[in-house]
Amino acid sequence: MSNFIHLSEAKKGDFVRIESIDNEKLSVQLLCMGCMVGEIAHIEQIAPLGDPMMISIDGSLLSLRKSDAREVIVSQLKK
Amino acid sequence: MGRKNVGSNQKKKIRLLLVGNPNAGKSSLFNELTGLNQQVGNFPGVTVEKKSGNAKIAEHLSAEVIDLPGTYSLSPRSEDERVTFDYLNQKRPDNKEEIIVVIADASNLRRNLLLCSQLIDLNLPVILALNMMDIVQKNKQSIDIKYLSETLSIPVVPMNARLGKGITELKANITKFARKDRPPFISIIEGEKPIDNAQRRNQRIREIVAKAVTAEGEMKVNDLTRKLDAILTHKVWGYAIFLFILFLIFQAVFSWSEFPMQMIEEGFLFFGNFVAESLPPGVLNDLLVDGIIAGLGGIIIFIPQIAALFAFISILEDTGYLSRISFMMDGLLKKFGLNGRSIIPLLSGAACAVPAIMSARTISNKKERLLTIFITPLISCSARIPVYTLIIALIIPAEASLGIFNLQGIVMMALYLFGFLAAIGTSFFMKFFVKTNESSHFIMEMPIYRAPRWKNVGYTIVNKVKVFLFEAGKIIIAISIILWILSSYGPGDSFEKIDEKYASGLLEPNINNETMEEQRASAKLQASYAGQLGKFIEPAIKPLGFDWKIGISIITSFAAREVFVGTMATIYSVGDADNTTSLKDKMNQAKDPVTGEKIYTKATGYSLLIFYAFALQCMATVAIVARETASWKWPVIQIIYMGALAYFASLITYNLFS
Repeated sequence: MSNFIHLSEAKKGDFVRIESIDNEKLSVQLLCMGCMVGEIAHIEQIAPLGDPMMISIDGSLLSLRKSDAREVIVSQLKK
Repeated sequence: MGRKNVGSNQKKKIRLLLVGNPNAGKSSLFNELTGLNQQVGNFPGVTVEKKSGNAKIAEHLSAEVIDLPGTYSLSPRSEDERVTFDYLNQKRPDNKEEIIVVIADASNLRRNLLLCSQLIDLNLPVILALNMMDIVQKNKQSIDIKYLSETLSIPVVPMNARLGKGITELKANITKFARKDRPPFISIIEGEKPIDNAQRRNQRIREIVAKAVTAEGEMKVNDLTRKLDAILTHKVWGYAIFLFILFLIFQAVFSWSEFPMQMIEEGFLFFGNFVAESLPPGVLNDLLVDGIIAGLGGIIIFIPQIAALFAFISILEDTGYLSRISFMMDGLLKKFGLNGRSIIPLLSGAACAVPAIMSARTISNKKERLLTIFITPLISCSARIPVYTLIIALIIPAEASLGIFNLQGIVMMALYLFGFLAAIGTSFFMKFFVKTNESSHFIMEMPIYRAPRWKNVGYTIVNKVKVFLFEAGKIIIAISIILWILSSYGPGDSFEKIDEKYASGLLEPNINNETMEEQRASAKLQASYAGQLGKFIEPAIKPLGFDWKIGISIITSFAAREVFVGTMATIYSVGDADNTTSLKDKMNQAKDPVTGEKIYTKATGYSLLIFYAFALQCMATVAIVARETASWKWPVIQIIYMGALAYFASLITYNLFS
């Protein structure tokens, strides 16, 4: 039913649910900035040069490079 | 147990430590508490800025306020966060009573409480300042302060630091602050993995926030921010607006600063002459005028550019736009080991490397910041212009053209281009050699757009100017004095002999006084240590097509590149340094005493241009790099690297054209 993708593959405007973060260091860092497993993220913008991407979680905006977004597994939600 | 009341009757001084997430409003609170009563320095051994100041809290209570770098948690990942972590864990020798004020963005309580909860578990004396209550209200939310305070067992003060609201209440809470025992925020589990601990913590924070915050609407990104982002990060409009803003910054640093800089220059010239005439002539007079006053002038001249650049940067940072610049440029610049924010130092470097290098502070990743600092002096700055203009005029006839383009203009443009290419090329290779133990993850919070706080802009300018004047300034003064000694003294009695020769008046009978003075100055410069050094390095620079006279100018240029023109003028003793036409003619006529060939051939000229494009001949830059990297390692590597680059590029150029 739900298809799992890397966060880096999500498109602008998508809503995704964060399923798992492979890298432990990264996951601690993301968690400290309000981004944790189970949270819903909205892809706000993708930089004109294709990288980084801007996501919003719980009212705050984060920018992350695609190389980091590749380590975050998400499931796409219907809008 | 151990209840201690801070607000006793005697005068008492405590220490307040401000901690909080980045963008939570820490600097606003710091400015509100301390006013202009603040100092900026570095934390010992690291390049992280330390702001401290004094605040009056109550009638008999004052506080030393330390603004600790913003951090999201106490599991440090960057140098900034490490500083905060270490500072909180250290015992300071003076045993002053300390209170930690955690400033939290109330509109994003869930994320902001994490740090606070960790501090509570360290059993530190904590007051929670809930900032940005205006946004909470705008979002139609309300926060149960009493519940929060009781659950966390710490004082909680709602405030709006931007408008100075809640400061009085915060001070009152500091005054009546009493340490008390509290239950831990979460239970301690031995050997727990950081991620599990953080997750448990977050779980508890969620429960608390769910009870404390009542919201009518859901949490969402502020609408204005969304609308602005749609334009400001747009693939066409975003870049157009960014270019326009860059153009404004460039104008400000390049041409708007010109007038005050001229005033400063003339002021110091006037002051120097005044001192020279009012004091009895002698060594002290010379040292004061040519060494110290000239050196001071060489420092103060940078203030307009620093002020102009930091006015813009602090507005860009305060409004949240700087993060968007980073967002838009990062994709390109990260390939070179740089950061999206590197674009500001790199472009301001075209005006002056000094403020540009200072502006690299906005780059939080240490490696990216270091690379940016390292390559910025390769960008052709405005001090190179007088040198470029003189040499280009010397070797390229004004009417020369390449197709429809004027050749002089093309060469000028090529020099800027070479500088830029050398800069990004250097960064591209350096990124493989610079190692840091910082996490390579690059996650940045994008603050919502807000109006700039002019007070903060003012404080930033004052602080940056102070840092430059007092920290880079002392190095610059020291180098100025050394350069003055090198060019005003010579070995043995060579100077006395010159004086005797000219005093006897027998040299050339039909010469006027002024010309004689000029020739005497020229003879002295040639006999000085700098002159000797020029002759000494001649064999080394011969392959580049330079003679010892150029050698002297290269040495004295270390004060600032434009000194090249003045030194050349003295050597060729033509009086007025600004009158480059006559200097140009003299240089044009200069012949090699042995071979009788022209010295300033095309080959020598191009070689010299390339040398000035690449070499690090600027003591102010060296001083600011030393200060900004908190070590002499990087400026030394930089001098050697850029020197080698200049040498070999000139060598190739000379051989290409001769």
